Amino acid sequence: MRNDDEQDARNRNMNRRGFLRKAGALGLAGLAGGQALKAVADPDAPRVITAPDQPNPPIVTQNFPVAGNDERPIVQYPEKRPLIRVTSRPPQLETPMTMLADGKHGTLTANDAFFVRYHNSEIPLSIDPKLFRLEVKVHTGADPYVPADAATGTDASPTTTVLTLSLDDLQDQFDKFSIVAVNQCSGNSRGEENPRMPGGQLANGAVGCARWTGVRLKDVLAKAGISATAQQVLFNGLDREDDEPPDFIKAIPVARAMDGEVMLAYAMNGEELPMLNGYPLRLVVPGWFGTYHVKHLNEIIMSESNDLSKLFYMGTAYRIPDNGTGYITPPGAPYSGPMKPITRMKVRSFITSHTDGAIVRTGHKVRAKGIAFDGGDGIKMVEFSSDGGTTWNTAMLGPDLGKYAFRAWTIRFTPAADGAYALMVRATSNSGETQPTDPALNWNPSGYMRNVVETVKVTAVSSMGDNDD
Amino acid sequence: MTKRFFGKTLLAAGGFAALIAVGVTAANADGRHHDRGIHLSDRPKTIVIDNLDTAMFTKGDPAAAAVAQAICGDCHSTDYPTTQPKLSCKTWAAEIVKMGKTFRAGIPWQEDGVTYTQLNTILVYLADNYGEGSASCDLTAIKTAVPGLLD
Repeated sequence: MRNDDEQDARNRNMNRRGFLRKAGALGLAGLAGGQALKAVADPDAPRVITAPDQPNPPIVTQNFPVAGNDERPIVQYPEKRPLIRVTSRPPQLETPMTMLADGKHGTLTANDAFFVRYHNSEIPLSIDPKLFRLEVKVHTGADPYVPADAATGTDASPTTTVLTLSLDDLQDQFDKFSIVAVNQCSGNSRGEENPRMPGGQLANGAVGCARWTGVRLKDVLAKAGISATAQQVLFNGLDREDDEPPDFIKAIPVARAMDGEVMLAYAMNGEELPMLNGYPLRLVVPGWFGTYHVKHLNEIIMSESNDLSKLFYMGTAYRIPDNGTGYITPPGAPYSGPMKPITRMKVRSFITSHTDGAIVRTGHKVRAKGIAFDGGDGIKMVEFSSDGGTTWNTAMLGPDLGKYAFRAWTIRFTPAADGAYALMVRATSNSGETQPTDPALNWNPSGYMRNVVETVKVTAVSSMGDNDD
Repeated sequence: MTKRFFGKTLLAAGGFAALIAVGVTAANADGRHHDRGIHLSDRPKTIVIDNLDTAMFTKGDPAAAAVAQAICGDCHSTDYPTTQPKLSCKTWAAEIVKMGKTFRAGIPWQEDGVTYTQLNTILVYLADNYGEGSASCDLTAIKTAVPGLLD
């Protein structure tokens, strides 16, 4: 069983899904309705954000190289536009490629288009920002930190709480810090793999880029009094029920935690976070995969142990082959060698102006555009091919919003004759890292870290109603 | 307009940057003093998504689909299995075992009286309707990997 303090903290931070479920429609109506009359006048009135029932949503079929069960409904969730739904409980929503960077500068992903990925089905759906607290704790000794486990009756390793912060405290007591950074799911594009593997069957839209605003993690840890013996910093959010699967806890080494770039974000593109993107506070680890960007962050543990084996999402899941490349050849080959946690993103680029099956006009200039990003060196060059990779031309780059940001690119090409055109884009980072062209060199058992050059197939026709340019 | 008015007034009165900041935030409904361009509401936020959890097993034998709906759907929406690639029966069995062991549905499985017969019904159902077929299914695999349930 959890200790009482921890349970109290959880009760204070959220109304659990279980509560809402038990309360039922009547209870929820009471929650909203009792105060709805005063909603206009009362600045403290709760906000209840709903989405319409969508019994017959539009269906799209993902065009994966190996066909599977690839139909996806387009569903609108609270605080979101209609997005591609991969799963519903917990929700996993993917951003259509054309919406990937239709925010500011053609570089940022709008909050209501940003992808959603959860692990445990019990997610926070109701949070009072005045009652929310972030607790910073210390775990001493070389033994690994062990999370609580109601299923086996295991208590969490003992910790000492050294700092408790409200959202007001975070805003009032620390310098404000903003950074533009990409958040990409480790398994983005998993559905594109060949052979395919179980897991979230994503196309390329589990990625986004936002301007995150909040406080530097190093400032919070300094205030908490991080010791010279601390090795790892652990992060836990509110998405868990006591009888649920392994708690979603992530860890980063102290050196990364104190680098002045890792931050706690209470705002995203200048506004509070959507609930499904981690309201009211999430971790941002620029350059590293989204798995580290813990949502609904309410617990930080400074641990003296470097042993992360008891944390399921560090010691068992989100791991890649520790074999130099992180990939296995040939694809599908058995691998029983060492594994390590996935960390830094690899350079990638996408076309956002056109999707498979688009029609362009023969003999007329076509404007292609998209984005590129990497793990933190910044983008040096983006090349574009309209002939399946035979010839490449350098695209024009958009505004530079920092080395962790999407870098917009654009280029024009003219299809000379009617027929099929394979559009490809390839980015090179400032460190010289570029994208592979052979997907067979880009496969691993969990479908993580794909960054092969992707292709969009369009068709040029001589006569059509609209000028594409 | 109000914000600009505050700013201009304070500038005229002496141009204290700090006071301008206070003047700007004072115009916010919450009266927060830390706003430097970002407004965070103090009001509790609730989203309602239960009405969107409508995933159902629609293919194949309705009786088997009902078993799968009840047991798989107890912990997660059933679009988790129905969006997977066409997996082999061996891989489907491994996924069911993973739910029982790694994700600990094994505890409620036992508490709820879930049987091997039911799990094998699910295995064959998934293999037939969302996989490569059930011809190669090993119906002892789940029992071997997850001991302790009723037959």
